[in-house]
Amino acid sequence: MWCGIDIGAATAKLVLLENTVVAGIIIPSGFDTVKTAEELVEHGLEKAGILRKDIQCIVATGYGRRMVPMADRTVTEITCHARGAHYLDNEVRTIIDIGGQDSKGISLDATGKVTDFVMNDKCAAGTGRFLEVMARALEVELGELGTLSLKCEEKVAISSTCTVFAESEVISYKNQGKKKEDIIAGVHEAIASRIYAMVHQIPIQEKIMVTGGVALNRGMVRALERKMEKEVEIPGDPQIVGALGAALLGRESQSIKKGSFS
Amino acid sequence: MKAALTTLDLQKYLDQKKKTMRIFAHFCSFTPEEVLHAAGILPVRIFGSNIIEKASAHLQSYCCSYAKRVLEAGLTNPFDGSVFVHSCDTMQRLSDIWGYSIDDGFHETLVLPVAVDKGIEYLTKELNRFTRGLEVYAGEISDTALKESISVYNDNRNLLQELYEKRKGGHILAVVVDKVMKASMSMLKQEHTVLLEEFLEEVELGEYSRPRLILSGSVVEDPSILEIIEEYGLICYDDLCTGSRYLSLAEEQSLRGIARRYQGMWCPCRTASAPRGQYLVEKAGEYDADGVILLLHKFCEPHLFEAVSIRNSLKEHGYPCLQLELEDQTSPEQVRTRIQAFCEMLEG
Repeated sequence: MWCGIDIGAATAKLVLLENTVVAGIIIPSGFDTVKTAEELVEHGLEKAGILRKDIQCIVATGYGRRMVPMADRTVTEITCHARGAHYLDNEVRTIIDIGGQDSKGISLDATGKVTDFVMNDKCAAGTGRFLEVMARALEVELGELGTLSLKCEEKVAISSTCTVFAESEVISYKNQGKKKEDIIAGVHEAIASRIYAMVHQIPIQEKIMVTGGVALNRGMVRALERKMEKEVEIPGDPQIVGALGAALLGRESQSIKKGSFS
Repeated sequence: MKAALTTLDLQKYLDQKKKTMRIFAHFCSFTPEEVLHAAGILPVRIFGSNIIEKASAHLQSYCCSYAKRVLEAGLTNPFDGSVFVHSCDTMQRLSDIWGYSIDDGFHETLVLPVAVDKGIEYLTKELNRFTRGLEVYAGEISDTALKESISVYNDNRNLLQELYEKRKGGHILAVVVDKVMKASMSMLKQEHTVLLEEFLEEVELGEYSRPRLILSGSVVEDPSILEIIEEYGLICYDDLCTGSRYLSLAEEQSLRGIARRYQGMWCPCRTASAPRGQYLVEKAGEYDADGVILLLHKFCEPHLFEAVSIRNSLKEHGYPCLQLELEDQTSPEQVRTRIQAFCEMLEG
């Protein structure tokens, strides 16, 4: 059995892999990464009904990858997302990963290897955090944003690319009596525009897969498709693609030569 | 035994020097250090620290971190004099701000021609104007003294070239190269040369491994970024103000010789993008590099304007390129992720 652990900015994920995915776990990242990783493994073992010694290799990825004490090696989430997406659909050539703290565009070849990538700069615009801030300002649940935005009649324009300034724009619209649905659609549009501007620095080739927690937001994905004028694919569980890739890389490195990777 | 140059406390060295010599601050690879040396002045390249308090009152948020750092250094501990070069617009305006906010004994700005390679006559005249101005402050600078100083600088730079030549055969940690180069830019040249000779005799080359990277950019103020990069790959060559841009020699021992020396510096402030791209492609071949990291300061116009063209030139020739745009405060884990992912990509 192979294990991939992805400690993201917002959520921590684990995948256990045999011939297929045996268990997928998602929990909040929390402050104490070591504890979070231990909790993930515990849940995973329980769900898969196996023992710790049944795991041959653990690969850690994500922001917290260096804080996972039981990991045999660390690989970046960029390489892991590519590997995971390629496993799910080997025709994918572009991945757009929108996580809690950053967004990335990744180009991959027919073998699942990364050929180029871009990542947002330090600010939170164009990420899940942006949506969290806006959901709070609009008093809606994060999970409701997608459905609400699809009911939009006349979306508003959010011109600011800074999360803090965009929040004040949202509050202005609220005080002008604009509808929640229209404001949310405007927020999605702004993020899509931001991500598109970043991702087209690499060649956007089809198929395109969107991964990360934000891929669960249907309205956001639709806005991105409109912006790119291309359809995108959403995997069954977009949040665990990085952890899946990590588990796959563990399995591959062991089948080549045990311990040959640092 | 470790070479003295690798354990040198530069600040302590400069504190000692301050007691016996006049120290001038300088900020650019185009500074005619040889002329200052001939006048008995110690030119010290300033890098400052990342704690910016006083400088923020003078500079806008769109100025690069290097400008903020050096102004902070000047406002905190004034030097005997300062020499600016109009390399980029920020440095030119910084010179003005420095002039009215810091009271040092000598303040001068060297104005470069738009294209250094086509402006040798003009540049020689400008260096002459600079030298005559310095004489008013420091007394006569004889031709003999200038020749002697140029020769002292050439000796040092010859040895620095040797250091870079060694990097082709095995690895020297980038933080060590950084320390040697920065010491050279701040110590009394002949004293650095003595330590550099010892260093070159004692340096042990590390393993020749991959991925091999070229680091291109301007000033690396804080060497911790070099350590992060070298956790994942080896820096085999650099295209930096704090590195190879300092290596070229003056073939004639005259002001004209100094002017001509600047032709070999490949600075984006005075070199067009296309030849710069070609230069990096050639160096990547010469040093057997696998990829290039562009380490750029946020708001650095000369480097950022050329970045797309440079990236495209490198990609056309099969050299992947990672662009890192940093400011002092940039979150290190984000930067680490990009560097590690880039090296994973190069390893395939």
